[in-house]
Amino acid sequence: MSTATIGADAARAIARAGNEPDWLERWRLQAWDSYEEAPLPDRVVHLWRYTEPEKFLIDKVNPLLPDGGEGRAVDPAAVMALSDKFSSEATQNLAGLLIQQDAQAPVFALEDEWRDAGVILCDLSTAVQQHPEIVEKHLGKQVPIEESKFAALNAALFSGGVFLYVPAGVEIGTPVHALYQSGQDLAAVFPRTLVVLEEGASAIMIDEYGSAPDASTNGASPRVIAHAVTEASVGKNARLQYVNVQNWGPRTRSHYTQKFHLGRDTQAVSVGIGLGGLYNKTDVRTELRGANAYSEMIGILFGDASQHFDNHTEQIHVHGHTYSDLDFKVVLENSARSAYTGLIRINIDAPDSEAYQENRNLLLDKECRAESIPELEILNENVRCTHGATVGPIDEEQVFYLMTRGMSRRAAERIIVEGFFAPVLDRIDDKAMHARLWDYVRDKLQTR
Amino acid sequence: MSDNGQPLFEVQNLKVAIDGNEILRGVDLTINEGEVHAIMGRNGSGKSTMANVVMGHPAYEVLEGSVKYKGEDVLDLDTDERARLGMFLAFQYPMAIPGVTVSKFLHSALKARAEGGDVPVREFRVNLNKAMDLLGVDPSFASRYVNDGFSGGEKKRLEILQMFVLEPTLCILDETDSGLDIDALKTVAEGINALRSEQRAILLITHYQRMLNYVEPDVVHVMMDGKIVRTGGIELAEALEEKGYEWIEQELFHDTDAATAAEAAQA
Repeated sequence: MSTATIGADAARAIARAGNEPDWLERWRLQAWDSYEEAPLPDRVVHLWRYTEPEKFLIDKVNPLLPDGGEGRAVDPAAVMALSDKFSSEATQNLAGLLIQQDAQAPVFALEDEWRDAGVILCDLSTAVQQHPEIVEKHLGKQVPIEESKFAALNAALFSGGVFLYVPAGVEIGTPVHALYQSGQDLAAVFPRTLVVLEEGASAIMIDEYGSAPDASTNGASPRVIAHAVTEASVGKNARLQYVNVQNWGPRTRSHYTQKFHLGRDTQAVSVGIGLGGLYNKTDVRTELRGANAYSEMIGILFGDASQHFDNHTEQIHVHGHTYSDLDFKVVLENSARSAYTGLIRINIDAPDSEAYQENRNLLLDKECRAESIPELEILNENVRCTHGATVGPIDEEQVFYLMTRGMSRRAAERIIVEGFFAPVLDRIDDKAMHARLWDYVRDKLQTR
Repeated sequence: MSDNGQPLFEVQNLKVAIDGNEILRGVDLTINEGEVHAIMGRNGSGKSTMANVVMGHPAYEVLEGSVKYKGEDVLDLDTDERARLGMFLAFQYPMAIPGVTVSKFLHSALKARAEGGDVPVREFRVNLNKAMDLLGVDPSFASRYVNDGFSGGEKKRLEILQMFVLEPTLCILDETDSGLDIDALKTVAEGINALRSEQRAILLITHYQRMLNYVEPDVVHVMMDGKIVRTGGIELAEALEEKGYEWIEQELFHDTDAATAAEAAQA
């Protein structure tokens, strides 16, 4: 069978397994056609200058099909216990938790308080059964099929997924955590998250991707191609903190697309954590579409071995009186590579906007390489905008200072790197996740 | 004298170059436990070079001579090894370490000095709070990032605070008085005086006599053109304050003249 048939059949099978409405099945099939028909991205176009799109094709791996089970709402205590499987840290003080393994139906739990307030947390298949009108209104609106060849691929083949809906005026003070874990070898996986905050709502959402070896790999990390998508619609006067933790295993190639739509008087903080994967491309865009929309995009990336990272960000000021600030910190060791391109666009009818961008890169070894390329399209003159980028090794004078206090060179480098990441990591409110991220970072540093 | 009968700190015929330029041209200096020495000299005389070389700054090349701490030549040791032996440099321009709190920084330094031993957090906090109290530093200091956005006075206070917490045996203070207003200078000087003890030696590097009004040294040295050219008591500092460095230059000039004359006479 050709890939085309496999893909269309898979899209159909996923739609049927989820008992999805016709519009969704049609959308998936259309997405698959679009994926098949779209040429590979042009390497001359700057977005793909640093990364080979062929690496994300799925013809040598198997798209995972759902097992036919339905997403299950379970008792919060049960799902919290389940989370221990994924994390040594106790997962406490969560408003909700959702766990998905490969293409299996997710389990999820939401504290009663929030369920009673009208919050919805479940997988997308369940959501489309129970709340079809909300899903139809928002799914694929920020990341439509036309977004890109690989966004179309996700639309065709995602299963399970995460749906978080917070109704007007509901403010969830504690985080909602979603864990996606791949285990199967030679698989293509398609995590998808849809966050909708209505007027005056607030939420903290943590999305985490990881891999764990399963029986098929004899303890080695699975070989996976992951195409993930997150879209968020943040309504008037709503506040979202969204944390995306990319901690795929060392034999995963990952492509990730994230798009936020900010309405009037909104605040969104997008935190990107890039740790895992072998070959990774990430495309994150926030569109400020209402007056007083406020966006922070902060992130860290820590690459080692021969990891490849290609991060692109877009701060798009569609409306005037909007504010965006981006701070992306990169540390590389061994022969890791990072290419960062960051676009600030301020439209002609977006006066009185402010946009800031900073990308700093610390190179710990001679063989690692980083590129940093800001791109400015400032069409209105009445704005404030700055950008800055640095690429270089650790400052030897800092190392000397710390060594005069008794720390070894390694210990000095470690504490400098920790300090470099701290302003971003310390923004993460969830204590367990905060501790876990520091563990991930320190684990990588310990190997030095 | 230290336990092994050696001076605590002894520099002999130290010659040092940076980028091929000889900056130190044969420095000799001996400091015993319990003593406070001052090295005075104009900018560019080699004072800061000496402080940095003693701690092993990688930019300098030692051409000749030795630096001994408790009788052991430390020139082959890494900077951190020297620090762990008990040597400390208070920097003229302390480095900012963004993202690392004062508290974490000091705890890490103590852990490094404990060489794998434990540094109980509770005990550490108590000691840190005591030291901050003594130096009149606000408790919020501990949670600020090291020297990041600090005023000149705050930076110098943090250097002194570190000496209280790390308890080094040899403290070299490089221009700790520079850039301080009179109140900050007094606080810093009080801190230094509180650190004076029978077991500890302090070396103050300065180009003003001002600091020495508050911290009285036992021995005063004058450095000029990469050498120590005069050694005396506090009266030497006072004479410098009064007459300036030209006075010594002229004396040296005459000395040289005299020596040349003597040589000529012998010939």
